[in-house]
Amino acid sequence: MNEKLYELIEDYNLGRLKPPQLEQFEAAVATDPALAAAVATQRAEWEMRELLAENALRAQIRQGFAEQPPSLWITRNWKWLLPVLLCLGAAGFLFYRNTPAPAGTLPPAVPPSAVPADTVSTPQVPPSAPPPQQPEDRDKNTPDPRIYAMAAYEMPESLSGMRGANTEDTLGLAQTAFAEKNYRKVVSLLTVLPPDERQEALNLRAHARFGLQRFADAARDFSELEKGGVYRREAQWYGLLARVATPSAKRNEWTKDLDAIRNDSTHPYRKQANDLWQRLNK
Amino acid sequence: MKKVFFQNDAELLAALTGSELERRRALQHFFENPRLLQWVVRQVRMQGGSEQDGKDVFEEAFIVFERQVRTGHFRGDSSLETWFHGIARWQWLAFRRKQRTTVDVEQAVLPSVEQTPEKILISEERRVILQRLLAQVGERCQKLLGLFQLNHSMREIRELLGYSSDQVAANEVHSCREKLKKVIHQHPESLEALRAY
Repeated sequence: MNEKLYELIEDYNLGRLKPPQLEQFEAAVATDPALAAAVATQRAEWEMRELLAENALRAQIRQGFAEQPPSLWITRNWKWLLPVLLCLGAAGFLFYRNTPAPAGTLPPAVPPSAVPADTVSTPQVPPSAPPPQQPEDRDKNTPDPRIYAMAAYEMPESLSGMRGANTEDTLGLAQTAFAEKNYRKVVSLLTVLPPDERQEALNLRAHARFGLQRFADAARDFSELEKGGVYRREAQWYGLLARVATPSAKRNEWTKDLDAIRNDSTHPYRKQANDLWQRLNK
Repeated sequence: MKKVFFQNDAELLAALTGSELERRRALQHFFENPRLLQWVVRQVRMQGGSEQDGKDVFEEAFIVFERQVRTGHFRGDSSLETWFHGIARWQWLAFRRKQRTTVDVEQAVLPSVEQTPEKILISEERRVILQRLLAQVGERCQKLLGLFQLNHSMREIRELLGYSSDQVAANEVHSCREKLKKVIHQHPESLEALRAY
């Protein structure tokens, strides 16, 4: 087989061919059994060499694990200990000062005095709960986008399956609190974001704020995540929900964001965006 | 080995696609960067996995990561670290899917990785057939071709496997590649089975 054809087959098998060359090559493979056999052989040969390369890499990785010195928790996290303790102390003080529960009764999950101005005047609901009742003075024929946004919220799989972390650094404590649905604690723990794990912390805080119905704050956090990183696409969707749910938000402020997701055929939340759009335009 | 620091992605990428020594340094950088491994282990433990599961996911993610860099699939749209996170999340979902094929995991929305590693993964079914063929190639050729596939130079292969010259190493590589092709051609039934997957 000549070198050029071999390289072309390799490019095809590795997904490097671009249209229209890709279509031409696929048409040739479909009509030429010898070429189809050459493609299958080259692919098998490449994959066999890849399996051998994997073995060599695995050996290097395992050697790397074996050579890693165990690191102590305190040496990794000492710089966060003081701010975390201060934040915890402040949060604890505020919590007890703002919840004068009578003896023998537990404080409510979200005391009215702790609910910021941007919250909706409905009782606290978990993020995946059904939409709350519409206020009585609302025109019943006009759909309230905020209610649909809250109803459309489904916690992402990466957070819904969370059982809490065993580590005791800031993020670990926040994850444990999140698993216990103690969103207020999550927010107070993550007042200062750990720079090493900023994205994870920001994502967690954003969802906790959504859970507390602090939609404007949640929208700000999601906006940060939308700037880039692994949570970018998720944040576009959840940020949109937070913006829609913000009481002071105007429809034209978030319509273009909703359309952007609906018009992106590769967006993982496109279906949800279409569903939301349909409900809003019934 | 001396501790190495890479100032930016460009340096790290150059090392990952460079010589064996540079690659080793880049690998070492990954292992010694506590953020990467900790991030993976944390994500896995948060979702019910063990620390060992986290290390396994890290290993699988790194293999895919290395292959994507080597085959030119990394386009530089995001930082290497972000990209690695995406692969690791994808690997963890695949790992869970394999362990418990429940409906919620099957229907889960995959993480927002621009390009999932699916395209250059080798399926389990194909692996079984390919491993059977590889057993007939011999241990020496297996080692040699593994290094060759990882883009090691002939000088590095000569040093690692003790050949007398670069030319002898190159001849051995050629001979082993021919042997690999011969094994494939001698087993048309395996090739036919591979076409089914």
